[in-house]
Amino acid sequence: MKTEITLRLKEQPSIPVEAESINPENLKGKSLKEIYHLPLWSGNRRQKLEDYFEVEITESGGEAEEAKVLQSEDNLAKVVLAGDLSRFKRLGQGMAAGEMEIRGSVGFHAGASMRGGVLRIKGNAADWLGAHMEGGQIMVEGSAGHFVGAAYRGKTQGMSGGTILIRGSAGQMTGSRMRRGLIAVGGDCGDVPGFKMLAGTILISGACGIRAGANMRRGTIVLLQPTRLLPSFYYNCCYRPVFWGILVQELRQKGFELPHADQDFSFQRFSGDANEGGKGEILICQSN
Amino acid sequence: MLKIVNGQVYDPLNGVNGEVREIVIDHGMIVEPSPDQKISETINASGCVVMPGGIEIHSHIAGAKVNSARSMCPEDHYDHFKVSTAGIRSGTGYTVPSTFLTGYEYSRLGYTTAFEAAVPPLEARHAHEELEDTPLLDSGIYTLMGNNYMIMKVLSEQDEIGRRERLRDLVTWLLTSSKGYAVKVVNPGGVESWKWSQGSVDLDTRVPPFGIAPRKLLQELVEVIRELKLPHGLHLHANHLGEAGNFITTLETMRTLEGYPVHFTHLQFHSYGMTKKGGIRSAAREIAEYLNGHPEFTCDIGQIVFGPATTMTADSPMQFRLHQMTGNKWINSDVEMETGSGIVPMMYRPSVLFNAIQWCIGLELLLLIKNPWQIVLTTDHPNAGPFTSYPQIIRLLMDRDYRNSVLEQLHPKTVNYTHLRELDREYSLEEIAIVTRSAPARALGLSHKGRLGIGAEADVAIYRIQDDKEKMFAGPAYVLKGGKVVVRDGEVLQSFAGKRLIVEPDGAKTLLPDLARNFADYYSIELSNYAVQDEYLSRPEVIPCI
Repeated sequence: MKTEITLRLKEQPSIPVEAESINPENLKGKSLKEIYHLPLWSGNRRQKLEDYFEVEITESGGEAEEAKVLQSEDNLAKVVLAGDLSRFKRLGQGMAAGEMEIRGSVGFHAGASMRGGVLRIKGNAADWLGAHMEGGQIMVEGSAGHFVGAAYRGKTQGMSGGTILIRGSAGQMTGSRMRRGLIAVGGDCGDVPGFKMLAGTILISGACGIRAGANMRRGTIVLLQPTRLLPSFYYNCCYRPVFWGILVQELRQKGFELPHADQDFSFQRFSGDANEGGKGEILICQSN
Repeated sequence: MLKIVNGQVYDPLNGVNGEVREIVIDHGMIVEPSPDQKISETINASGCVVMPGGIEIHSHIAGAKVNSARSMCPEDHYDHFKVSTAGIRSGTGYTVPSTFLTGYEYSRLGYTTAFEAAVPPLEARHAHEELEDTPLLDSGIYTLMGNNYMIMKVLSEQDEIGRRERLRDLVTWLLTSSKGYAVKVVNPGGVESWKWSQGSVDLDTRVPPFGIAPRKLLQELVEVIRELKLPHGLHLHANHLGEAGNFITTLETMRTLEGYPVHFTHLQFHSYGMTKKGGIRSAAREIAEYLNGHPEFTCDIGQIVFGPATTMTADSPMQFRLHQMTGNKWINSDVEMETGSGIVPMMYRPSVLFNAIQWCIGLELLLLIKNPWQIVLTTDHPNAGPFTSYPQIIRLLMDRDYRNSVLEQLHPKTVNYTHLRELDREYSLEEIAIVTRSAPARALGLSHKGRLGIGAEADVAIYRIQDDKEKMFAGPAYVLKGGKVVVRDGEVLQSFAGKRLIVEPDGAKTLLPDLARNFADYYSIELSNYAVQDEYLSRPEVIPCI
């Protein structure tokens, strides 16, 4: 038996709403009334969830419980949000388990500091998607804004684990100061992906903006389309990396198909950024 | 009238050491108790110690570089903020709190007076503006003069008597136009030398453009300070801060200035010996031994606190080195004809040998300098750590077992380069009262502060006696500022501006004519716009030069 909590947007707020209280763990064990009374800050006003959403709790695959209170300890309910939520910030921020699905677009900081669980976004995501993410998985059907998996201003380390999969395109500074984890972009990517990257993997399937990997210390950036690199990246060799096949398979398992990707691709390997020691690598697909 | 009863009073300047006494306060002053007084409020301080309000002798809390550090370090703000309550403003920042928060945080530790340690005259207006918004503290600024073009020009003149007089006039003019309290020298000659792309300086290096040696600059400045009878002596940040083997320069500087009132600031950073491989080792013994024989000198420590810090100083070459060494972000500023400035955020870690040795050296100085009246507890906020860590340092001084337990957690090689493990001394409450209150009051020449006798200002801190001294000093039961209760049980109750402490020494009130021509030629502003106007100080108090 699986419980599903559906939040349907009633009306668009005129100014952004801070919605960090909406995540599977926070909704766990709460009655309908309690959910309706969850706080949402809009500007300097503290409002309630009921001001914006209609909530429905449904049971699937089992008998309906008498009281609509979610008691189960381990079995978190699936949370579904429907509507254009591009004015709702911090959805799924800090979530550590469970599943949340957003049928629409989301605002800034979705899945930021996320530690576990799955966040599915059927529309587009705004800036700072998965910033400082530590674990779990984010899947975006549309496109993402700037600073995907990045570090907040002044912080030295961004995303430190987990997976962010974006079917569409991503904005600038994707994976900036990233420390560990995987970001895969199915479409194009803006400027300076992997800025000051410390470790981890960024895969960009479409066209990539300028200055990929600027100041990167370590880590891997895989580009399936050719691009002009900074002069501080130097050519090593052309080879067929073993991990590529494994990565493609894993992405396929997670439902992320790369168009025209072949397990047997060969890549040109460039080391850089030479200004930071040159331990990072950019792989540019040779076979496309 | 307000009365504090049943408290164990610590008032070292009046020789009161933990005796239960009554303190009566009227119109912001401590007055003689008598039976016919009308007491409107009584504070029962049983189970508490009663001390004068704390006095911060060296801290970077206001002005251009502090503000640059705030905008440079958003990471210092995310997790550290205070929401506003009735009458109390909000604020952010851990190592560099915003102005109002700085005032509240000092107050919550029982501190009631603080001095901003380094202000170029050109930035003095900014510092005063920020201090106006730093409530609950009487405050003042030290005016930077160690790398000033005009000072060095005057020092290069041949005629000895004329030179001394002109220097006295120039120092007076710089102090009064910046509304400063004391003369501050940072890396004398070293900053100017760096600006001319030259290396670091020793006491006898001739510094361009006038070929003045730092030794001469210091000797002439202390002489002028003595002539002007300034309440605080020369506030000196010596050459070679943070370099291995710098204790030789520090000792040589002390010998040069023997007999003069000089305050050696953040001495921990100046007490490094050198190992064979060029690393640092503790030279606290050598420095402490010297100071034990020279009661005319005072110092403060600049104790390292493990965790984040933001280094900021007028010693711009040092900051450049630190930036290259750590790779951390850096701001540099060239303050025209006066000085330089730099900011680099830092993280002090117990697992880093260099930091662990620094930590030990500070505590060694605090434990080896025998006379507590010569030493003041500081962290050179925010350079070695935030001032909010004072309670932790107090515990380290009062509790040997705790100290040794922290020592155990440091880099394993630390003990090879330090003596801290051999030191058994524990501070008493009286000694804590001296190094945080009475000694800085005396070193600053503030006769009405740092004491609880009749006629003293009613700045009082009341702490509940607890075994854990860190807890005890972190949350005073009451803090009184000017006779008003401003903190109760760690909560700030009200907020109002403190006084600004300034001096008016007997010297020229205008700039010497030939220097005024230099000013017109080289400064970016007009001379008439230079001096801080009286309007910038809402509650000035002139401390007499006697």
